[in-house]
Amino acid sequence: MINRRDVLRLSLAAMSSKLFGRGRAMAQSQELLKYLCPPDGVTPDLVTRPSPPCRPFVAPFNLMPVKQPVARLDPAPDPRAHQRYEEFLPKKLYEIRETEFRWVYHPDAPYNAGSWSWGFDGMTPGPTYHARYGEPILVRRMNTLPKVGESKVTFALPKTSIHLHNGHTASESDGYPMDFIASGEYWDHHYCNFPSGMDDREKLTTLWYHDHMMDFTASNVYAGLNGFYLLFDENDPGYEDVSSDEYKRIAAAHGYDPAKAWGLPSGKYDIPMVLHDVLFDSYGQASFNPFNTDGILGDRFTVNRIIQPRLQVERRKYRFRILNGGPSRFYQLFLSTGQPFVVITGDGNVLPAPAVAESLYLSVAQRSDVIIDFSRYRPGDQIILQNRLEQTNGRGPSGRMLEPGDGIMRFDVVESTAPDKSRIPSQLRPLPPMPEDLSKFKHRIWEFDYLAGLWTINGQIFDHNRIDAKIEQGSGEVWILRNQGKNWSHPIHSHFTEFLLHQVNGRVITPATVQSTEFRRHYEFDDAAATTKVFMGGQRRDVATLLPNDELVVFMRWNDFLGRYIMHCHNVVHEDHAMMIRWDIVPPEKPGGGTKPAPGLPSASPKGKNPA
Amino acid sequence: MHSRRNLLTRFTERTAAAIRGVSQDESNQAPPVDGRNAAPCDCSHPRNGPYAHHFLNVVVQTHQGERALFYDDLLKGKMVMINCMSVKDEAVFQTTSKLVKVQRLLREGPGRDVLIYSITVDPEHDTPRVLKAFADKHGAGPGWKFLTGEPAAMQHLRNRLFTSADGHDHGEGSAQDCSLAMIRYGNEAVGLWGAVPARTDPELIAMRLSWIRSDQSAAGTLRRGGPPPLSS
Repeated sequence: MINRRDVLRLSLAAMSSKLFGRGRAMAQSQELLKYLCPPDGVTPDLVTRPSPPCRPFVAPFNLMPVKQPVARLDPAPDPRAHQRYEEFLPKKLYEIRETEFRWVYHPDAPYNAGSWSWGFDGMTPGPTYHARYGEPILVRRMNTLPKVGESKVTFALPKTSIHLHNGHTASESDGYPMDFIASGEYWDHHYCNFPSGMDDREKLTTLWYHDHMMDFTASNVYAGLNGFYLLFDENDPGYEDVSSDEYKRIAAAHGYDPAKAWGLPSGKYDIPMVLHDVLFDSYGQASFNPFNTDGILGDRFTVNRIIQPRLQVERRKYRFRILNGGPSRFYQLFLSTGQPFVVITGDGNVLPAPAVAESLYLSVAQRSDVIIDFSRYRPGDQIILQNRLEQTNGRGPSGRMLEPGDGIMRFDVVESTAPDKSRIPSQLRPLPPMPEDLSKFKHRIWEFDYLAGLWTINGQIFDHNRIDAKIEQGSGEVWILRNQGKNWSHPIHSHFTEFLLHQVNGRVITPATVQSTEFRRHYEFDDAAATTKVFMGGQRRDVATLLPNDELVVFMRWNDFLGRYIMHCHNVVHEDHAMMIRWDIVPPEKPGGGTKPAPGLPSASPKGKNPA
Repeated sequence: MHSRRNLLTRFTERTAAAIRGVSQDESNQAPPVDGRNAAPCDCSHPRNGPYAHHFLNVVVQTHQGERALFYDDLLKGKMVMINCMSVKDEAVFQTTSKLVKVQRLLREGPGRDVLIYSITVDPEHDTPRVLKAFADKHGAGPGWKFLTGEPAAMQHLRNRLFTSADGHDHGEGSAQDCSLAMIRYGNEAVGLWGAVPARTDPELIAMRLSWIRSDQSAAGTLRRGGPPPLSS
């Protein structure tokens, strides 16, 4: 048996092996993989039963179709079931089916036989919604999955509750874990598509939808139940040639001022991509270990559910909307040529100004929209998107870097077909301001910990009938998020409204701060620096990544709707093992009020429960 | 690593052979029933089932004094709940008391076929006799087996159920050292497994067993599942 001291020695060896070249470092990394995984004596699945081999960068890239509306729904939606329905009457109606099918992850055997999967309208990821601010929609989701015992996907539960991450959505349309439908049922989701508090600074861009079933989020999303939901607006209209007469007509039809459009790369040059790591059995079927409560890892890297695809790109600018779809792996992405990314969003939030970053750090569910300009390359050049963050178990990254890392996908450069009319403006969208005096707001403390096999928040596990926080509609609060673990990480996501970061481990964050990290225990911050090493997100985000022992202070506001919502760890295995709280938006005690004086800053001893 | 697995495999084969009343030599010479599954850890006969690869077919002893192969005899094709426990730790987690209530609910409803396995993490103290007294004291009903056995076998099950705090422990005491606060529920005829915290209400635990039950009912027309009309 290898003991802990040996593990330490091996990890030191692995770090020093960087000096001796790539091959040796990779070999060491494989060695480490065997010994750093819990529980003691259990070798991880991806070592004992690795996925069958297949060739990288031969499978063509999968681009999901745009979901098209239908003229009517039968029966019609029930206006009594939705908050503010008459105010935000749906202008477009959609219906979509959750289905089971064989999905071909790769053309090589055994993958070419297909892996039984779940998705929407026969595909995973599901079709991409193109939505617009000011244009409410209603999506009827029909669960037509086979029943338990009939389904070919055996590890997932055919009950679903689809959440629009991080839509500003009424509770009944938000995908609460217990608002599930069984096979043979449908649920209407009403998306009003207006920014929180009707404040334009609250607008979002890249959202995604995924299942949120109680106890089964990890397995159901792993089976394939997710897709993209993109929001467009006057600044980001989905057109790049914004000085053209064609766009002026389009702008007029939407009531947009054409001068306000940014002209970001759009249309076929605007590409969403979701990353999943998947483990396959010897038949090429995706397999899932339901007994692993730390988090599960796969050894095949997929983009839009294709293993290591290749994408032909023209010599011009592209916008890539990169999403870490989980279930448990964190990524730090680089381009093999060393070219930096021009980052325009952190999660769904547009940055005040683009940031230039050598790498992107994405914890689970985090997104980043980046612009890559391929005009610097020649036709025939190949650029690989790499993940260099090592992770040997589901609890979080190990803290070491892989050299050169795992290839995620490859860009193959060809000549461009037309002049590149897209632009990258120097200024984008200002963030909602942080209140000057946070002591006026109610403070709550949330501690993320582990107890006897369960992942806990303030020592509690999720109870969908227990309200952990009652928040008055229209109010703002300061939440302190603490990771009590010294060797695990939690990407924390709260539904409905965005986190505005105030402090990270005592460091005050401003709108211009870019959070960065070299290793997982060590943050750096770049204030409007020319190039940041690692982009971890801007000040506003919907996933607060808690690395070991972190404490984050965030500010949030709750406007517009009432009802029950959740905050949870987005390592979905942790979520399913109960790292989730319920918070409710309740009517304000005094009309027009909602902000109560703080009872004072939190004490050093946080063990007490929050007042609901 | 390998030495530990080999040890366990040898142990399992020996005990399995002992159960069948054959000597170890004979058992080694006997041809496997199915050549495709002749891996050494497959014991004396082939196992199949969705998570047969996950559990070694270790021998366990029940509180009623029976011996059983964990996968073949107890899991394969069955609806089950599994928790890890010890008589000593019941004072901290009270999972057995909770399961008594859950079993009562299941037996009143359509859950009479759900079996419960409580695996001790303290086999040195929790002998079949001790577990029998514990089961009787709590009123464990039919279909509920408390399992103990050789420490190596129990450790294997514990590992496979991820019941270890390796890397999780803060050093705040043994209460955190094993995942005693969780109940697994599974339909191993299908290979569908979930987990629920032991602190959850008994009704909500029993409800989960209905989620994972195989459903042969005919598909009807699509009906509205929600959202329900808002209350005024």
